[in-house]
Amino acid sequence: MDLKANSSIPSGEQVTLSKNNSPDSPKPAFSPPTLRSIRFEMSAIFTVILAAILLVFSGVIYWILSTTVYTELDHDLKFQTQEITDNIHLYITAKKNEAGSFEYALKTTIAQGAKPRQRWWTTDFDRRWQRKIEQQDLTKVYVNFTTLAGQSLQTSSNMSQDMLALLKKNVRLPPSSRDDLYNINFNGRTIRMINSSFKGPEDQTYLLQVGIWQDPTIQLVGDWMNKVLLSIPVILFLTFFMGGLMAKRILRPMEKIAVLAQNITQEDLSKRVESEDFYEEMDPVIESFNGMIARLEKSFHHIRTFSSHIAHELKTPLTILRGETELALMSTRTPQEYQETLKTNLEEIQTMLKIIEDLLYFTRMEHHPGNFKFEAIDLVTYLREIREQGLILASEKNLVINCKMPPGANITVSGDPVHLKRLFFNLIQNAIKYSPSGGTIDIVVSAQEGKVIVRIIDYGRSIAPKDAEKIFDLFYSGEGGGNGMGLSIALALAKVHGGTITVADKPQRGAEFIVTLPTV
Amino acid sequence: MRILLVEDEEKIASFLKRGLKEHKFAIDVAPDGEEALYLADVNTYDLVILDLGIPKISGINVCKQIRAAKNPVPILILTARNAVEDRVAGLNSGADDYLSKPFSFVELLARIRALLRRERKEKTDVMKIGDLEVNMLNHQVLRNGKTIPLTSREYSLLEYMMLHANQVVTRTMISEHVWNEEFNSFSNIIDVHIRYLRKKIDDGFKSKLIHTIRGTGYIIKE
Repeated sequence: MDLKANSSIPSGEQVTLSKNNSPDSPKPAFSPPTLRSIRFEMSAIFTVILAAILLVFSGVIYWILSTTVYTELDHDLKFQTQEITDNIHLYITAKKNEAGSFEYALKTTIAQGAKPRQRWWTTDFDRRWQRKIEQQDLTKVYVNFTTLAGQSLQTSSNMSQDMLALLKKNVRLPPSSRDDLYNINFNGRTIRMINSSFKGPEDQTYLLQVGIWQDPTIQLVGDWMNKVLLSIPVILFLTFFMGGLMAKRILRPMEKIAVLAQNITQEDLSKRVESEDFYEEMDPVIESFNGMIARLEKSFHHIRTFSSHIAHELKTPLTILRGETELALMSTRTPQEYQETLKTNLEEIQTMLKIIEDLLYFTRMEHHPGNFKFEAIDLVTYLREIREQGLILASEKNLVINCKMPPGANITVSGDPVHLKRLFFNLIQNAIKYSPSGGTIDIVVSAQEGKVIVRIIDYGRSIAPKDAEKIFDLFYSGEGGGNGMGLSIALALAKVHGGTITVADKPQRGAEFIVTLPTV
Repeated sequence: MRILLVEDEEKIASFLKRGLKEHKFAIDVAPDGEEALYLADVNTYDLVILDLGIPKISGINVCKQIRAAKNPVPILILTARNAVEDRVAGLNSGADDYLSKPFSFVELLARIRALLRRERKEKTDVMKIGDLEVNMLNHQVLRNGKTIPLTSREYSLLEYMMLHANQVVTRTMISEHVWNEEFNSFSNIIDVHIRYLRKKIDDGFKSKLIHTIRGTGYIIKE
């Protein structure tokens, strides 16, 4: 009973072991993003790029805005200056002959506080001029009308002494006829100034200085910039968040693949990742993944069948060894009985050695084809030698081996003499095994263009059609026994030599193996 | 106890046959499924030992066909395939037990006994009738506490009759279950062996246990 336990428990244990100790015990497919995660990296890159874009953009906007605003300010200043100049000119041109009209024009236009001249006549011109003066709003500007020597003739009513002193320092004629625009600092605030030349009634040149506080403009631009700069972190934060969401969305197929991949175990490799729901960019990944699983499945299957075949092949001799030995030990036997048992045991040990040797040979051949040393072989002589050796094996069953060569033929093949011999020997051994005692085996050689055909014919039992398909499969052994490797090795050898082996269709009796090899 | 051994590997069949004979079983060997079904049909067996990898008809199908013929014989499967699916398939096809190669002969014997025991009401290996005790494990026979030495054939005969105690066993039944060789059941071999057995079991004791049922066979009872 304990032996049964021995034979059945290990497999059970393996099942539980692989379940308990499996290194990839279930863990969440996707953990929260870390610094190394794609999600973090994508969000970070997104944010940095957007930050750079926003900074450049707001810088440009600031520059454009401030330029526009200052241009507007300058434009306004010029316009005011032009108005003042025009109004004065208009009056002194109209009242050219009236004394004091220049002073009156200055005072009315610039200080704007002067009452209209009290006269008993009032002309249309006076009324229109007066209305024009009233239309101009000079409350926000500072005006100084001065001689070139710096003596102020008229200032606007909001002008203070300190400011006037400051303006005096800047009394200079603008270059040629252009306006001279500049900034001055007054009590820590900036005033935008314009100097404009004025041609007086006696062709005398005066200077008109007009200034305006720059603060409101600076404040406007500054406020705007503050708003922009304050909104940037908010935008960046949102972007970081959105970037994470987008990355998560894009990476969702990865998550699915990960979940599916976790379900694929050694026990069940038949599962595949379905690609229909995913982005087409994911297809190559899924394809390679599935391809890898398919290859794994194939080789796992191969290994599994291979090892179960080996185990199966070794179990029969082991059963005999164990049974014979146990039986011999069960009670006292005669020396003859012990000898019988030992003889049987030795045979079984040899069977096992043969299985292992064949197996190693087969594996070496499949994985190291470089072991073959090809040389030109005269097939006629070569087959005659093989026949001689085959006869020794055949003598046990009193078999005759006939070798039929085409007359005078010189057939040369390229092959490894050691391995090629094994090919023919395996087939001859097979023929010997299935031949009835005292029978015949024929080896028939015929040369065709570029190839040689060697038929090995026995007249024993014929091969059933269902066996003919599988006869070359590794470990497939028909009813005649054997370890099922001889013909597989022969076929593999034929393939290494660029040839094939086939089974003839339905010969009358016995079996016919046809070896085709390319000639040199 | 007659056992049908279905095994295509000659050497395995050979040692099993020898070993089981040594343990007083009568053995028939069938090398393939066809032969197995034929033998199971014409003979009555106490047990079938069935290898799954046999030619012509697979072991699983042999098992199914035996069961389809309403044959309740215990079936013990032997096979080199040890995967869970193979074992399940074997048991599902109607087999009673499963043993994988390479098995221990001692374990095989134990399982055979367990399967045979299952057929009986009392689940022990010691059978008793009156003051006669038959131990199936070591083949020891005691009457009134004294050991009675029996030959192998005599033991088999007694064991068979004890297994069918208080029932009439015919000469045909005895010939089928106790003798290995084919022989003419009308010959008097069985009668001769019964006579030997009586001499050893009943002679010198007041109560006779083996009785002849004229024209039918024998019965062992108190």
